[in-house]
Amino acid sequence: MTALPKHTPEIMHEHDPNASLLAAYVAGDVHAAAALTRAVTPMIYALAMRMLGEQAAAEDVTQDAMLRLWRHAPKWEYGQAKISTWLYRVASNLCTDRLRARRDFVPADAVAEVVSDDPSAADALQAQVRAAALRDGIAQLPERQAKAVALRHLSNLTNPEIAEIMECRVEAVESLIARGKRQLAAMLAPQKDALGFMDD
Amino acid sequence: MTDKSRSKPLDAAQLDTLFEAASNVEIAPTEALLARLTEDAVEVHDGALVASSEQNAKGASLKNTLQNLWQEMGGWRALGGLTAVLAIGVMIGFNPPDVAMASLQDLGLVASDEVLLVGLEGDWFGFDAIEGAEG
Repeated sequence: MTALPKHTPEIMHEHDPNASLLAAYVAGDVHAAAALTRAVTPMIYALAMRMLGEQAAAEDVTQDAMLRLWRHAPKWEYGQAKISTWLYRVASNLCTDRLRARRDFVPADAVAEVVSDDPSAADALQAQVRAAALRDGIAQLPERQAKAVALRHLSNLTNPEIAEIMECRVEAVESLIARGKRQLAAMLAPQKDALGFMDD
Repeated sequence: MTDKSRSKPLDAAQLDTLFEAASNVEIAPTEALLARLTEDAVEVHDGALVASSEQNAKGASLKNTLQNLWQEMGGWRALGGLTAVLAIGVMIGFNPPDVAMASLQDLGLVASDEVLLVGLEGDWFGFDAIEGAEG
């Protein structure tokens, strides 16, 4: 691993603050690797956790994504995609792969009704049920819709950012999100009571 | 859970409630995970260095093999000996000794007049000596 970056750290820093850390890592700076890990891991771990709902699975995806970054580091094309964009792309792909393999959609009737005398406990339980239903719903969506919805509504990224991650036009992202949300709304309809929603 | 609630999709506000609930939860990686990821980074880097040095070693091993072969053949000393033998062979070719020519005649490899010439060549000193005595 001796290839050096094609651009100077100053230029890289202007474009992506993480790029100079990656270049320093390639040059053998362990502290740069640790700093880069702290900078980018939270965002991909949070995405994985929200999409998969399991700590072990989210950690696996995060570790896999970061390993790919370390291995790809000597060949990194500075001045092209941001490291965060690249990582979101890899992590969201890994998550949708796992969701496709899992397909553990819980039937509507199987979702437990939230019953508790303690209001805070009831709220916490309700939040868990809603989060699980949302994850399962996203897992049932077509892959690109699932990615777009998760990046927009679970990671709170903007549509142009998602377009860069998914390598498509912003209009395509808007369409994917709209279609995904329509499907989710229909999919979760049978669980309204369990989710604590009442129709007028 | 009524039939009506089953058939009517969630409205936008209800869907947003779900998204907000999911995205507002604080999620952070553990220190153990961060440490593991940094260890991975070091391992990948070291592994790449090892792979790089192994590649260099591959090139070096071919050089070593050729060097070993050269040494087994005797190295420069053997080449010196070979050169000396070759030079002697060339000299003998130009100035063949009598014994060698006689042997070649016995074998039928050279004509008898060639042997005569060799014999005359061998008497050059004697001939000169006679000439000198007569003169």
